[in-house]
Amino acid sequence: MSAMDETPAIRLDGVGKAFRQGFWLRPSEAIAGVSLEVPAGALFGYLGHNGAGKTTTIKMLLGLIAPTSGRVEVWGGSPGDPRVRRRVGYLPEHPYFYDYLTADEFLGFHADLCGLSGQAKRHRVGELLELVGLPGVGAVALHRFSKGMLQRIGLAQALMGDPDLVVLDEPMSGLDPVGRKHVRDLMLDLKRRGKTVFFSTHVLSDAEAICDRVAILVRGKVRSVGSLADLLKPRVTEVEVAASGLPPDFSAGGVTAPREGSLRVRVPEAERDALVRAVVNAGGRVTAVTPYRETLETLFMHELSAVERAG
Amino acid sequence: MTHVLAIAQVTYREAVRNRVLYSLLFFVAALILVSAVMDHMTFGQSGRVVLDLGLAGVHVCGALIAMFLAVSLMSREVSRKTLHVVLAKPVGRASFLLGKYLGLVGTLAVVVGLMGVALMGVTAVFGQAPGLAFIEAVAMIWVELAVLTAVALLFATFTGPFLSGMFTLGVFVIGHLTPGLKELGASSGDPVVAALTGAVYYAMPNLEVFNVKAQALYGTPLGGAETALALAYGAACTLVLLAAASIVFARRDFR
Repeated sequence: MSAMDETPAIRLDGVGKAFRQGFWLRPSEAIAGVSLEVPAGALFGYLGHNGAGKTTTIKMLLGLIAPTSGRVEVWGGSPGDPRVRRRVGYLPEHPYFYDYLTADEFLGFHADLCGLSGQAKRHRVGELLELVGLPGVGAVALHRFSKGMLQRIGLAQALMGDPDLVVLDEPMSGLDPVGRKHVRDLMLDLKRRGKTVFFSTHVLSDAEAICDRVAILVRGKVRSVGSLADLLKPRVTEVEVAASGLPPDFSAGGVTAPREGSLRVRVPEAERDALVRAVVNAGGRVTAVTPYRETLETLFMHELSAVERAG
Repeated sequence: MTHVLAIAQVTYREAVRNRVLYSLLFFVAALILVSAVMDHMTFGQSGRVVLDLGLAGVHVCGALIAMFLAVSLMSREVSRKTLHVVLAKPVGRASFLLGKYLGLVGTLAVVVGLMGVALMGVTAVFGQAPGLAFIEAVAMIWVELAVLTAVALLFATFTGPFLSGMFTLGVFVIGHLTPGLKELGASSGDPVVAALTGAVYYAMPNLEVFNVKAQALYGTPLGGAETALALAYGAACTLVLLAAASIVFARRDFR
């Protein structure tokens, strides 16, 4: 691994952004004190509710927005430097493109911007149309494209320069189930090829299915960051116990009144053994003990409610 | 430079596919109609009158198209966020602006050129054969539109389409009045008025420099030195305006 490869793809250090709004141009904080590091080769999910500041962060990674505080680094350099952006591909959240162009013209234009020309340009355009599942539409104008097709052509332009870092803002937005799977597979394929993928989403199941690291952004602040295993493992705290053949007067540790002698209840993991013993002692039969891992959704809701409680 | 040319080409395509060239049909139709009316109203001078009105038409239509194109295309880039994916590529913001500018100026060259050819045809029908001075007048209109486009781009980098359009229209009108204003101030005898009109004269581009329509009417081309001076002035104005636009554009956040 070269020194360049050891450089994190993204490093945010105490990054904040306040936009001036209204007649008096009062500053309104979009994100504050965001610090995180995305290692090269990671498939990183940037999670947050609508309005959490995901898109603001992403635009800072591309030099479209300048931070008001902190430092943003992409591949060790400033995203404002075009040489740094040569290694970055970007798909915006609601892609609007030059819709008077045909797909071939549009991708050809982006190939020009990425420094491709001649045979290499034509080959890459055809290859990407194939990759995103749009073969044979090269001569169709973009204003005739459906939302899903626009998302796909957007992915194609993002991958045009074979970037080392692909930044995708809500890439599954507007896609049908087949399209979502296609994009997920595409992201996994990019990771397999050693690329770094940074994508934002508020659909947590998407992130849980493919990410190896995530950051959770709540109201402009990063609440948790790390690998999914690290974030979720310590929080496996509940089990579901199912039992049958219990007497009507069964009672153990606050669990009572089984219906028709059967029971299905979720209890803290620490109370599991006592409940199982009580069921056996009462002459019942334990039919299932299912441990409940914390899902990304429960972690996210936990972080969100913690922020709401703090006011 | 490849980036700049690619952006210029896309801008040209956008302008053309936005059917801006349809405005030419309106120009030609209006020209033929007005010419037919003038032919009945004037005696022996209809060719010259048609040329005079036609050149004024090329000038005003060209200016309106230049302002509309520059302001609307730039505002659409920002409001529809189409420039985000372009600026996320290894493209400098100044290159983007320059590409937009060249695409717009290229479109205007086609528009003004076609209007000029149409005018030439109509005036030839009325017995006025336009020569070098006519070509020079049309070319100078294009140079003026190139300066006006830079003005519109500067405003479009920091205001919305309505204000950009109004400001550019203001510069177009004042730009043609500044020499008169300066003289008015100097002859007023009031040092404050003279200073104010002088300040306006130097702050605004003097678009009258490019007005050689009278020479075209009388068939007397500009001298080489005068043409070179006008072109140098146009280039200097454009460079200053584009540099200012680049500075504003470079500092802007694209939300």
